[in-house]
Amino acid sequence: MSNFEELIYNKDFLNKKSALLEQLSLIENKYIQFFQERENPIDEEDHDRLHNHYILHYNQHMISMNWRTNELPQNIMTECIAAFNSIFKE
Amino acid sequence: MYRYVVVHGPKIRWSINRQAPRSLKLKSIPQYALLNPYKYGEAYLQNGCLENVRGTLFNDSLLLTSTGLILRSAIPVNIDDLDTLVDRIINLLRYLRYISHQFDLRVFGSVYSITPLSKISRGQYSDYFKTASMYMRSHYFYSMVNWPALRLSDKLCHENKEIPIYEEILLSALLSKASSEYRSTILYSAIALESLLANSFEIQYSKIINSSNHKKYRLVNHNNEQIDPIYKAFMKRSDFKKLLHEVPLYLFNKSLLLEKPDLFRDAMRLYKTRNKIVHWGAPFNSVNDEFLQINEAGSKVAINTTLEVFKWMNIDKYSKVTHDDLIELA
Repeated sequence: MSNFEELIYNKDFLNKKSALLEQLSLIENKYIQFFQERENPIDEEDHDRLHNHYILHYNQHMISMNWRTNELPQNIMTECIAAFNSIFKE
Repeated sequence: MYRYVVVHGPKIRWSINRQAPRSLKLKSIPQYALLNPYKYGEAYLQNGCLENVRGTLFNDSLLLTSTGLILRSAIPVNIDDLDTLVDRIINLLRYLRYISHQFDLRVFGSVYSITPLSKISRGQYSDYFKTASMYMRSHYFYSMVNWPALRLSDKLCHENKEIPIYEEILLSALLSKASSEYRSTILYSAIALESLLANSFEIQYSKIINSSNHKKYRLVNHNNEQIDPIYKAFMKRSDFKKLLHEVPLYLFNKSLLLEKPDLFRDAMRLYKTRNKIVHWGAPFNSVNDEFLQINEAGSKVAINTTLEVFKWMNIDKYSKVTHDDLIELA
């Protein structure tokens, strides 16, 4: 999959995307109690995960972070947006 | 009885406000209305005319990409008229590209099938994500088609308003640049630049000829026609330098050579490179500073030079669609 992405997107973009996923993982760990108390709507073996609540849209010309649900507390959403902006703002 | 026509192929990036009407009765295609891809989202989705199942909501507008159009006819669709309909749609697309500056909007050859339908779904495109944050390339965002742009394109198309050829060629140069086609970027840039200058000078010359206040010019009567032999002499020879210096100095009291010598030098390099491409395919010695290189850097100089000359000739509407920096939208 990464080879396919490298064909389409430039390296700078892919590095930023990796950095963002790392940041989002840190946010999920920071608020792990919130997620552990919720059921995972997709995988019943697991608890809820941050990635169930957002989706990234990107192509060569744009990237956006969008909410798939409106169930996240405001503070988690704010931190996700701040992480996104800190990485993609030029 | 067919009342609808699905036109597959034309790929258009839209930014459609939620308040936009459900359809636009087209002046340029009598009896037909173009259905709003947002308000008729279900029909567009079911007929394979939307690129993505979900769009992005931004500032009360839905950003989406259509890969076809759906039209409604006021009278039963006559199958024999579909070829004419395709021609008219293609003509409308030309204006849409010109007005929106969406240079990657393919016009000729973009329609690959046309299907009449008796009914369509009525639901709107409601399954969108709420945007948390978004960055978009400047040219991508500012060239999206909104409803007012569609309406204006339709009006100009209906009035058969002439699209300046140099602007169409500039859009082709921008498309070539975005596609990393360096040779054609340089060729289109040079043609757009020369076409702009020649057209502007001809318009100004016509004004002079038809004006009563032309004391500084040398109008003479030649075969019952008013002409300025000095201007005619300037334009007779294919000397590109004259288009940048002598002719504008004579007509407009301005000269690129005198006002912007660096830009003049780059315009000359662009023109010389264009000549080498036309005759030899490429300059033999592209390291020579006299020519642009056929690469990313050279094509960038070609585009920037052309845009700067456009600005110098008071056409400054392309700056937003020529930058590829990421802009923060939400």
